[in-house]
Amino acid sequence: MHRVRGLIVCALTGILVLAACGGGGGSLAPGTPTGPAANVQSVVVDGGPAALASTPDVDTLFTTVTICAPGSTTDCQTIDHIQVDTGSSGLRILGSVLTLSLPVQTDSGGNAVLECVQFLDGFSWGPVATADVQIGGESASSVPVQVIGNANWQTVPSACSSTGPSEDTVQTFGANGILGVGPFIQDCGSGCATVVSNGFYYSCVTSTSCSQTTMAVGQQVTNPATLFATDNNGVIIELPAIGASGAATVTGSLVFGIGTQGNNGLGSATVYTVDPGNGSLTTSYNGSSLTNSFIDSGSNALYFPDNSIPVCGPSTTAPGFFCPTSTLSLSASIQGVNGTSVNVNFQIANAVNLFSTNAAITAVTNIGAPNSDSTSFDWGLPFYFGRNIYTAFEQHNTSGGQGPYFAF
Amino acid sequence: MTALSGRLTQYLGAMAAIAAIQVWSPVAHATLGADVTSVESDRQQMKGQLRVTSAVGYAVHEIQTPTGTVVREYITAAGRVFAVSWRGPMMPDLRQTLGDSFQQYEDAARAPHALRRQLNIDHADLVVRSGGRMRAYSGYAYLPALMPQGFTADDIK
Repeated sequence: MHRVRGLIVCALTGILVLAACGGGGGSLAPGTPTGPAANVQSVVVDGGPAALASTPDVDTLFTTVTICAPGSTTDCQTIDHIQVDTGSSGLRILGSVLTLSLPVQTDSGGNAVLECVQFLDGFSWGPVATADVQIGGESASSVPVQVIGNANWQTVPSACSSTGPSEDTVQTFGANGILGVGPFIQDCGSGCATVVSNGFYYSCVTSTSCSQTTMAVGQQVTNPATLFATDNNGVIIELPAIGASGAATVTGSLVFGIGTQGNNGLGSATVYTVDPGNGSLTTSYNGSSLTNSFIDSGSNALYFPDNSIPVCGPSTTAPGFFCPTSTLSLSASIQGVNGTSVNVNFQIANAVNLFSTNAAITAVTNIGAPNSDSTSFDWGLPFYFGRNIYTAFEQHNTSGGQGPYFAF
Repeated sequence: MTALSGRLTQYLGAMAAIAAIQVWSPVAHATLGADVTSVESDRQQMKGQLRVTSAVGYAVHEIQTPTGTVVREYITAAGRVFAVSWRGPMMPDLRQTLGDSFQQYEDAARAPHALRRQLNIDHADLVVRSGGRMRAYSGYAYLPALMPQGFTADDIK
């Protein structure tokens, strides 16, 4: 597989050239990227940062974010290939790509605040810093963000490293950073405000002396889109439909706000509310009710339990993905906590054949993999192509009711 | 002999019954592959509640941690931990939970893999499934060689 740079320039140059990159205006069919506006930022599916040239990402959605030292309009850095993730909350930047010096957040005792984040196949350790964040025409001041793999904080407490290997380089992380715009405001929430051994937050007297600590909700790493002055109640990810053979590069839009502007109304989209504790909803598939299902732009496939579908072997070009002998046409039903449900048809192709037919593709709508959780259907990025998918933030009112919910 | 192993022995002795007895108590969990009588040191780590359930051929120790994550440990009739599972807002301390298998897990997790949000390890002597996202993690690990007869991965909840 080769990484394709193609239309990356649209994401790199952000709003200044959005007019040249966005889609049309007016009445939009679902999946038609919204045209340029202050609340619209370009997004792209491609192979990822240059460091990943030999192992390009698949079905990974990126955007470009500008961060500034708090209060400064000149001490700023624009960073491309930040993954857009509705499965987490908060902005995290790899220390190796950060050229800015950002102030590290301190706790009431004046000690540095560090964070351990689990991305399930490893951990990411680094300081919580404060930055002004600009995405498209939207901005937020003094946002708690995480800097992953900071050179000054190399000693990882064992309680953090016990979750697996470190993911603190662009190669291991798969992106220059991650923009968590999931349904929750903070990454951890009230649990970390009351439980000391929460696994997320640490108070560090020195770089080698850290202990777990509670962290007030307002000081936790926060979804920046909830802190914008306007258009702060949710986001829409709009990606065009792609063919069954995939695409080398796909561009779309990340739209801020739900029902706050002329370009972000719910239109014909239906609201599916999610569990306010963990963001789950239910999927009915193959006669089973999968109650821990979720919608997640940060998942690079459709992950669901189905032992009848063969899996590509470890020595293939797509190890771990589904490898049916011929493309499967399947259906499932997504049901919100509010009881509203919808039938979804999807296809699962042979992943090895897909990538051997066209080695340049990085965007595919028909790859899947087994879900280790037999009670969960993970509607990853393949589900986003050809749809406008709304993520409404918890505790925020929208034209479709209060979040948290997804709508499409 | 600890209070935990004493209680466990009691249940293992009554294991012919299916899910016969449930008890909540503030004790710790075991480690994959370890003997249940050797895990007293684990006690201090977990500050959760333990519920022990017995089934045919094995027992399940279920621990609810303060953060809301539920860890289940599956124990053979001979008193060995042959499987562990977890579900909740936090991953468990896998160095402790996987014990001697942790290094093997870490090496396999570090190897390049195309899947995101999903980690599968299929070794002859160790199987791991891990998935989820922030605020909702789940997974399990087991040692095939220690699995009781008739027990399959589908029996791990």
